[in-house]
Amino acid sequence: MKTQVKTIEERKKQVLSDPRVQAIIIEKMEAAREFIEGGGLEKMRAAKH
Amino acid sequence: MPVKAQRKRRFTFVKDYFTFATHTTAQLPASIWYSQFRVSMQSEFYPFQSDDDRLYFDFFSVSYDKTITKAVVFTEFSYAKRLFNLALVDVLSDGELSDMATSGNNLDLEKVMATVSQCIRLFFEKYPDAEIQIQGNTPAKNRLYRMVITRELSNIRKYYEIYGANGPLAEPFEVGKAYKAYVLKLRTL
Repeated sequence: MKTQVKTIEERKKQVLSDPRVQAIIIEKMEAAREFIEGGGLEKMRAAKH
Repeated sequence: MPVKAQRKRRFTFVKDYFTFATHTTAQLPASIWYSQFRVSMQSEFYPFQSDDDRLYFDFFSVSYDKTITKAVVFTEFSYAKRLFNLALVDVLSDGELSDMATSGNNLDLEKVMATVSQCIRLFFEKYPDAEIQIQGNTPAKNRLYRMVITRELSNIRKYYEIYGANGPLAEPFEVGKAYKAYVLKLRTL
């Protein structure tokens, strides 16, 4: 019996629609809020190293 | 099982995996498939696929006793354009999902990280003005990221600028210093 192979779009949809993945992403975005809203991102973008 | 026999068994399994990968490619002509044959590499990495937007990538982490599907997901921050979060997620065999707790869970950390670096490279080809935030949600994961970045720093700096962030402050990455997050951007000439 052949195994049904999901397409990349099907796998992407499955992963991204999972609430646990969304929770992970939201958690990381919230954790970065201080860096972004505190001006860290803008300073980093403006800096030339 | 003796170590030599384990290695032989693992090699056989990996070889079979590549056969499977080739077969899968043929079945999915519309998708983008990357392997050692299509992308030049510095370290050995797993064949992987991406969506057309290059915001989602997945690959199989393979050892002699199990295979773990890993997904690399880039998500743009809604309140900071051009900044993308990178999440590496394990899709477990029972359909469960988990954030990458220990990518060494298949004893292939180096190969997994090399694969993620290829995903990052292809992401930047499509979004050269973007920045990527890499952040572990536990101190252990951040230590792991710091270890990998430190080890690969000379290679990373050939192509990228790498920053360490603590709270609202970011600075060029310094070896031996602890950071809560890392930000990667393409090096400008």
